[in-house]
Amino acid sequence: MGGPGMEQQIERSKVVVRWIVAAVLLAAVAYLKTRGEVAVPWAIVIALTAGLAVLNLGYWAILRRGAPLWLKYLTTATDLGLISVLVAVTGGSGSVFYFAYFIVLVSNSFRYGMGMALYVATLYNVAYAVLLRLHPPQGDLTVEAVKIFAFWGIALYAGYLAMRFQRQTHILQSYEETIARLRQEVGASKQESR
Amino acid sequence: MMGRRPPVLTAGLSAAVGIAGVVLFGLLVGIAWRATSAVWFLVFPLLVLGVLASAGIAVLWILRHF
Repeated sequence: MGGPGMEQQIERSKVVVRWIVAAVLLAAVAYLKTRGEVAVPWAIVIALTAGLAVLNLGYWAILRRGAPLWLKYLTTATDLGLISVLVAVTGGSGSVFYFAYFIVLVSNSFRYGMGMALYVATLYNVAYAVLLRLHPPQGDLTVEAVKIFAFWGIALYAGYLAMRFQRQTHILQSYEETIARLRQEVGASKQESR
Repeated sequence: MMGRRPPVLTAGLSAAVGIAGVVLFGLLVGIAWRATSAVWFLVFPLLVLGVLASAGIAVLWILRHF
């Protein structure tokens, strides 16, 4: 979609959004920690934040020269990985930060379309299954399976909406090109008639 | 002059794909219902994509797309 220039622009905007989301999540973790709601050590909070900052600076440096094809897959994978660690250290399946998975899903699906939606859903599914294996939930596993299905459902719907949006954008773009060509032709024929 | 192209998907093959889709869906529900370990959830992507692919092929067959 849109070529390398467009991808560079999208990934740059993702870098900015990543700083904002990271700041909000850090503030939320710090607040919940001071209230005793989460028992995550400061060392892990700082390590997670530092890791994210290093990755984001690295992505920014790469994006100064251009956007390689693999970059969007790497940034999405590392985002999901960091969120999985955050969810794991703040209560596993019952973590208040579980919603952060949806930020990555919606943000990437709307920007890149159905292929990316399926990629995010697959990675989330694998990461969450591993997380559940390492931090088994208190209740029934069926509830967790339903959560995974719900994520797949939202991913497919977001991907479908992105596909529709992309199709409409292409139609609009072709209309604009046709209008520009017709204007050029009309201008040329007017000059010939003079 | 070009003749009529042979069908890409025959009735037998589309029926097999449809049955495979139902089996995969059954597996999906069965794992969600009865799983005793989260490791089983690792096969969900394969099952979900398989169900979606077979459902897509079945719908296209019903609409006589092939």
